[in-house]
Formats: sequence, C-alpha cells, structure tokens
Amino acid sequence: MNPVRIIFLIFCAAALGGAAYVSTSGMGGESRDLITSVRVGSGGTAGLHSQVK
Amino acid sequence: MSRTSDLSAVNCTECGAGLDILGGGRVTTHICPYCGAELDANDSYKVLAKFANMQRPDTPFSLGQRGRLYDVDWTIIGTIGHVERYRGREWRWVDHQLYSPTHGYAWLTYEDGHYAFTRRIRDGGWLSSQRVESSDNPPKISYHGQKFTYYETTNSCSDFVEGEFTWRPKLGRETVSVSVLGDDAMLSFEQSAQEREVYRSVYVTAQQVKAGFDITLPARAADPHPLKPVKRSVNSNFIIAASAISAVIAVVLGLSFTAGSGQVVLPQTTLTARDFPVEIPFTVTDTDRLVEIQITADLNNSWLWTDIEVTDPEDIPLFEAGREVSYYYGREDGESWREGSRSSSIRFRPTMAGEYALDIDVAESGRGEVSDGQLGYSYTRVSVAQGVASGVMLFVAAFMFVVIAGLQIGWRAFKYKRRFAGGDWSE
Repeated sequence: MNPVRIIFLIFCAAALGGAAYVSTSGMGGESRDLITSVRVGSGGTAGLHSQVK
Repeated sequence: MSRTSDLSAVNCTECGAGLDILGGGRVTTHICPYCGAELDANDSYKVLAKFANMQRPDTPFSLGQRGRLYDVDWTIIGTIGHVERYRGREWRWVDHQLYSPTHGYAWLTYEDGHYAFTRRIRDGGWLSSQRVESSDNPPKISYHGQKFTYYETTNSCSDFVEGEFTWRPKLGRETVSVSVLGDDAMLSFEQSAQEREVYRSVYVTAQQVKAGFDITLPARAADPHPLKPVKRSVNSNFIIAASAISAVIAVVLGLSFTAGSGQVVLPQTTLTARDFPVEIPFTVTDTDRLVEIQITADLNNSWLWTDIEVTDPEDIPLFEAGREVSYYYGREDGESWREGSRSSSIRFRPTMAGEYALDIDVAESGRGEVSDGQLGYSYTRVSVAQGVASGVMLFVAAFMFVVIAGLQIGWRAFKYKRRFAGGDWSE
C-alpha cells in the first residue's frame, strides 16, 4: 500500500475517532434556543408567564 | 509486371530521381517526393498521374525514417497531409504510413504537436454518419469490452502525398470519418467514394516518439488532445471507497449515538393541567455529557406550549426555554397524513453536579391550530436523563467524507467531459 493510501486511512480513522470521541460528550447536540442570560428576578423573554406561542 | 522482392531502389520514371523501396510487398503506389509523379509499383513504376504544386506539411518525420514503437521496428514509407475546412476554420494533420516486415502496416499521425498510432481493424463494426444524424443521444459502441462514445464527424481531404502506399491515394478526395472515443483509444469509421475502413488509434506521448525515433520534437501544443487518456490517480478509487466506507461508519455510529437515551435521573412523571406550574428536582452526577428533558403529551389534533426554566444546584437560573408540542393527523383524498410529534426535548450541558430544579408550566394549549381555551391534552409526562451523547459531529464527519468522495468523482467527470469538449455533438 502506497504512502498516500496509508496517510488517508490514518486521516479517516482519526476523523472517525475524533468525531466519535466528541460525540460521546454530546458536542453539537445542545439545544440552540436556550436563553441563558437569565438573572434572578428576571422573567426573560420566554419566561414562565410568557404568552409567546 | 510485379516488382521483385529484393528490389531496394528505383529511379523515378518521370524525373529520374532515386527512390528507395521501403514498403514491402503490398505497396501498389509510389509517389515521387521530388516531382510528385504517381508511379505504379506493380507495373514497372509506370507514371499514373502527376501531383503538382503540393506543399509539404509541417511534420518532424520524413520518408525512410526508422523508429521503434510498441516494441516493433517501423519505417516511415509514406506521408499524407490532410485538411478539414468548416465555417472558415481549418484543421490540418499529417498521416505517416509505417511499415514493419513483421507487423505489416500502420499509421503515425502528427497533429499540432500531438502523436497518434493507428492500425486498421476488421472487427470494429460500422457507424455511419447517417446513424449519428438520426440519433437522439451520442451513439455508443463497444469494441473488445471497451465502451466508445461518439466524438465527431469530419469531412477531410488530402492535399499532400509522397512515398509508398498500399492503395492509390488521390489528392482532394473527400473522406467522411465518424469518430468514437473510449478511455484510451479512438475508433474512426472512414468512408470515401471508393472504400470504407475502420481504424483504431491510441495516443503516443512525445516521450515515446522521441525515444522511439531519436528525433528532436517540435514544441507540443497547449491544447489538450481528445485521444490523450485522462490521467487517473492511482489512489482515486481507493480514496472514493475509503471515504464511502468511512461515511457509512460515521452515519451508523451517529445514529447509534442519537438513539442512546442516557441514564434516567427523573423517571417519567405524569402531570395534569391542575399540577402546573410545577417545580421538579432532579440530580445530575455526570457533567461530561448532556442532560435531556423530555416532554410528552397525549395530543390529538391539538397543541400545547410549555415554559421551562432550569435552576442549577446553587439556585442560579441556568436557562429558560419554551417548547411547542403539537400533533395532527387525518385522512385526505384517501391518504392518511400526520404532522408534528407528541413529544419534544431540551438538551443542555450541566455546569456542576448536584440537584437541579426544573420549573415547568403549560402556558397555552388548544385544539386545532388556535388557542380556543380548550385543553388540548389530558396529561403530560416529563422525564430527565443524563449522560446523553450526540451524533451531530459524526454526521458532520460523514458529510465531510461524502464531500471528499464527491470531489474525486466530480473531478473525474470534469476531466471526462473536457475530453469531449472538442466534439461536435449538440443536443
């Protein structure tokens, strides 16, 4: 097997391994619509009594 | 009178110039390169005709030149200059007839710095220009297991001849040639008023010609030649296969990660409208992975909107979010349909281990698609799991592998299309 093929296989294995590793930690799976700038006493923009549908 | 096999030279019966006999027993015509007289090789070199005012085409080869191609020693015994004129443009190329005592006759073509080696074949079938004209798609044929696709039809004539030939060439005689192109060869179906022949041509590199004929070659033209095989990377198929397999592995892993539900830290808790708003505690121990809050309701063509707030173990609000859960179904025009889902989820990354509080309220609900004051559900179920993984990055990796394979295939298709760019097929 020539060096290009070996390097590409290593690249594939590294990409798969890396993706699998970060996937176990849930990377990329967090909900993106969470309002995190919540302070005590603030209702936020989608608080418990919001009427937004 | 037939000539004798040991004849090595004659004098032109028109101008008296010495002419070498190079071409073997099948030569019928010898055209004097000095005076243009066409001599009958089978009848005492009697003058048959005289071609005057011919201009020798530009070619690095000359009569009598010897060279080696494909492990065969060849001698150039004849030269024919061709020209094709179409809509004010002109294309020229030169065919050199080759002779080998052991391998017979062949052609070495020179065109704009490119070289091609051609032999006549007798098992190539036939493709007429009429069939090309009546085809909806470029005609394809198969020859010895190789696929050939229509490339062009040319209407050319010869404007220069010299040397020995196995037939009787005529200046100005028109030849219609239909060409089909394969991966590494071209088939030409040539028809003139007198005969029709099929030829197979392959590209000869300048290095092969230079090494075989030991000559200084003119500069090669910049334009690519359609006969020149597409250089395929030796690793191309491997990269495509490895990328495809890696993409499949990534998708399978991604799906398995996505399907994983983690470890339940709040079992399904059933809540009715009277229970809201409600605060439910749950304990998180795994801060390396995600926590998922799952909300399910018994919706039937109805919807509900939940407001959710999560507070961390230090009683600091972590985030707020809203979720609509809606589910509709029915039957229309004899076909069943469904839309939406009876469940929804929120995933977040815990900041610390400890007891979190989930505040949840159903802010609105209704049947149909409006808020009509009617409850769209009778109960909801809430559950929380920790240690949840995500397949997103694996899907990203799968996409990357698909792109790599696609680029390889696309580049190959681009080069293939570029080979046919000079063809004359139009839809």
